[in-house]
Amino acid sequence: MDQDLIAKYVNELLTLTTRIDPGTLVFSYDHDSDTLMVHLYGRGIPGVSVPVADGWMLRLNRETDELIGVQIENLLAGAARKQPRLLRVLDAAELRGITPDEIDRVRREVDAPTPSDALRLVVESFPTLALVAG
Amino acid sequence: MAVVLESIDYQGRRVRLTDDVWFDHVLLEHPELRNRQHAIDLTLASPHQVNQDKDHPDREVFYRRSVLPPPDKNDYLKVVVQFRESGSGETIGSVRTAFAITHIPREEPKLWTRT
Repeated sequence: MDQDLIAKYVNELLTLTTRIDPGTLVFSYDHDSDTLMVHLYGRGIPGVSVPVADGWMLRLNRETDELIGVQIENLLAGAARKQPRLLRVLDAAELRGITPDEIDRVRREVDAPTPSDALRLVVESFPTLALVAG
Repeated sequence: MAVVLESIDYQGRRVRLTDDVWFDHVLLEHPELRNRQHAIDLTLASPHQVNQDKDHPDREVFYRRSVLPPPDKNDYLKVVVQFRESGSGETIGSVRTAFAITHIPREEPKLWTRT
C-alpha cells in the first residue's frame, strides 16, 4: 500500500479520536502474541492488517477497505520500550495471559526514571506558586 | 490445553496450535481466519517466506500468499511461531498468532525464502 493511502488512513484515525462512539471501542492485549488490538467498531469484522512501521499496523475491513482498527505487534518487547506511555493503554484493555500486577512490573522496568530524571521531576513539581503567593 | 492443529513445518519441525490460542485469540481478534486452519497448516508446511521475529529471538514468522478466501487481494497469511527444545531434544513450535496481512514488513530479518 502506498504511503499516501496510509497517510489518509492515519489522518482518518486522528479525526476519529474526537468523533468515535466510545461504546464501540475495544482494546485487548494478548500476552502470548504480545499484541495490542484496538477495534474501532467492536470485534467480529474480518480484516486485513496493513504494516505501517515497526510492528504498527492499520486494520482494514477486507470487503470495503474501511479503517476498522489498529494492531501493535510486540508491544512489551518493542513498541512500549520506545514509547513507555503506551503501557497506559493496557489499563483500558481486556488482558489475556498477563495480570495488572505483571504489567506494573513491566512499567517500572520500562519507565523507571534515572536519578537525574527523578530529581527533575521533584523540582518541576515543587509548589513554587504557593511560595510566591505566601 | 487441547491441540486443534499439529503441522510439520517446512524444516520438519512439529508445530502445534492449541485451543486457547485458536479460540481465545485468533478467532476472537481475527475473524477472517474462521474455518482457515488448513491455510495455517499450508503456510507452515509450505511458506513463501520465513522471517526472524524482530523482538522475540525464539519466534519465527511464516508467510504464504493467496491462501485466504475471497475477497482475494493477494494478501498474505502471517503465522507467528515460538520454538523451544523439548526434554528429548526435539524442537517444537507453538503458534502464537495468525492473521491476514497485505505485505511482508521490511524490518523483519529474512531467514528463508522459496526459490
